[in-house]
Amino acid sequence: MKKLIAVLLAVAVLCSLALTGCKSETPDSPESPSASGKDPNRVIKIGFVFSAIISTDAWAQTSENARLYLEEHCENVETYKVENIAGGADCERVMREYINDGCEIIVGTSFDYVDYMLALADEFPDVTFINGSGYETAENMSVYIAKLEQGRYMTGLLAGNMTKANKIGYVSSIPFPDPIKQLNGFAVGVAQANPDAEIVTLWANSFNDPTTEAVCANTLIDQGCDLICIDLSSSAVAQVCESRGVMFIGSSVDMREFAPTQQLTANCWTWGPWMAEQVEAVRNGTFVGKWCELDINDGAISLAEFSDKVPQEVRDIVADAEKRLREGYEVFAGPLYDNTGKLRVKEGEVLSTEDANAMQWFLPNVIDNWADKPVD
Amino acid sequence: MRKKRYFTLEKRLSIPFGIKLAVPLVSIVAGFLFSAFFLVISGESPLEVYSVMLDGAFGSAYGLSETVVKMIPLMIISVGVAFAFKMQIWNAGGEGQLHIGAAAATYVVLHLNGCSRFVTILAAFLAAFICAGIYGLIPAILKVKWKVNELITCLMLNYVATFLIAWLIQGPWKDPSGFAFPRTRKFPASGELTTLFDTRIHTGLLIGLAIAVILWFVISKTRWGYEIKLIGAKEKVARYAGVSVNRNILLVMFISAGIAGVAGMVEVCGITHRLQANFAAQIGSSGMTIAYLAQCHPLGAVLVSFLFGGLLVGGNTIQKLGLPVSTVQMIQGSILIFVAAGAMFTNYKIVRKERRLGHD
Repeated sequence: MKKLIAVLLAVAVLCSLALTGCKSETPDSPESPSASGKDPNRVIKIGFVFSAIISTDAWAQTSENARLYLEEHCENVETYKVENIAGGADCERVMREYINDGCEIIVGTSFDYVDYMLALADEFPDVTFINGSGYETAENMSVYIAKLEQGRYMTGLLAGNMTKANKIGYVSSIPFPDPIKQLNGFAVGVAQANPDAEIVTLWANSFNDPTTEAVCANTLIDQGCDLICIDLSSSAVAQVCESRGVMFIGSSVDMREFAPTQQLTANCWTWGPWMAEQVEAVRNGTFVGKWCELDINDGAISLAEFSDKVPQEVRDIVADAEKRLREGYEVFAGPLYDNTGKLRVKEGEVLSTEDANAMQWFLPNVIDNWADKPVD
Repeated sequence: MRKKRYFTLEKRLSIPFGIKLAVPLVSIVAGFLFSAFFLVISGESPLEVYSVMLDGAFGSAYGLSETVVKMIPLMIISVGVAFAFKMQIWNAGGEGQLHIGAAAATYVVLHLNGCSRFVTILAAFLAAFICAGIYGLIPAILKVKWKVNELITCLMLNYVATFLIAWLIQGPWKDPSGFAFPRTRKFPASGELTTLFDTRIHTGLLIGLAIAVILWFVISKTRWGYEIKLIGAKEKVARYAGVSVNRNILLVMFISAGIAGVAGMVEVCGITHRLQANFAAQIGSSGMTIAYLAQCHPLGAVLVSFLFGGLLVGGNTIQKLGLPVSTVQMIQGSILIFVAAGAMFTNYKIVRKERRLGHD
């Protein structure tokens, strides 16, 4: 027995030695890639870091679609991806490894990464950083996000027209300004289409928690909602709606595969063309880091193909809204009151981007059960 | 008369050190071989994948430093829960205690403005230890008073703690200048642990190693440690010997939970520098696994945490080969399963026996 173990031990040691010896060059100290040459035809390496597992997370899929777009449409580009990196110790390491490997552009997808990306942007001025969501930027760091209320406004109009029960369910993630802004954009659309309809809101307290999301969806359906809209990344609500025969509006990407008969449409976000522009800017040395709120005219906001359930007149209403948005229609135009009766946007005024990004109040047709009522 | 030869498992009377070392090593290799089969099926070269994995985790000074960064909270939390396991008290609440510790440390750091780093960190350490310890006393008191199974209450309290954090960072502790993202303010420099060797390795490493050595000393060299082991081995015997079981349950749970809380403190003070959601992903739940794999030995937990950290770091690295994350998790999972299952061979040996079958 002892001999056997000794032999196995020796094999184990040899194996591990052989394996570690396979790769000779190991980058010891982080060095910025030589962008000094600035050959415009050079291959640009781009490293993507995802906080979730792409296949199970719709928000991550929007950035993965952008990566695939770059692969397809950009010349001399190599992309890499690492998934399932929570904010914290891991994301900085993955980004540093990318930089060691010669990546010129690092794309993050989570506001948890912002601190680390800002620090790295400072340390590596030759590397370009791009993060999906967040507000802080640097000379070599941009943030991409969209004027998401535009898409929500269109689905709000659709929902207001489609509900028979005048009770629309809305499952969202965490009540901080960005999701609240989207919910209110939706509420503006619903109010315009159907003043009698109310929006019952539940917060799953997570961006991707299928169990809780399914509970939320079932609760809303049990309360009599006949249409559920989500601002979440899992497919749980879609599946519940499909099995219980309740209309559904998806989020981030087309979720038709999970609710083939019940999905009316979905709010889709598209970053690919914008990101391709950034890559070319890096290639030409003209990149400027800034906060980029893309809108419907940038192609960032669109709706998925309508299902057969949506009648032509409703499609026309949404198409008209899309046209108005493209011509500069503002979703949060006054007068807007919150659900406590307080005037939030005066007649003739428009909510500023800053105020929209600090929204902590709900429109009157939003029934919100969040125990901790947001205060301002 | 016929004889039948067969193999059977027999408990080892004593466990030689060589076996203790060889069994996990062979198990790791077996786990790699098992995964290699699936890698080949999915068209990958196992040799390339494993070399990149090991290289990412241990092959460079940077990779090694990051493995240590990952190891620090794992080591502290696993040493903490292992201490309770020694007494057969199943502290499954490490994750919750870690969160409470992190919250307590955050509170102290954000409110002790103007103090020196030493004072701030010491206060954060004590706050994390005491608050998490008190949190760990809840299941201990329930067990002592009403014989409530601590495994269940600990697991439940994990949820309570994570939701408490969620409420804090979305509500009262939310960074007022943070664009309303759910996270606290960034710590002042005095609340950050000092980093070592120009890497992200922070002084939490020394705190963790000190805790591990102290616990090893307590368990193996002191009378109290002997009592704890006695309770773990046979509670009735301990009672007859005059050991106060209830007092020890409370004390050991307090210390075990307190140490888990320190793991949270070093992670927020050493790495994230603010309290945010997911700051301890993969740490809380791994503590128990590591404690088990290390057979509840404090110094063993240090070693296993190092390997575990490497497994996580290397796992991220191989994704850049284009491997889907599920394959990475499959490799990590199979290595863990092989090591856990292989642990049987530490305590048991295979022996060959003969049995006489009756007369024909």
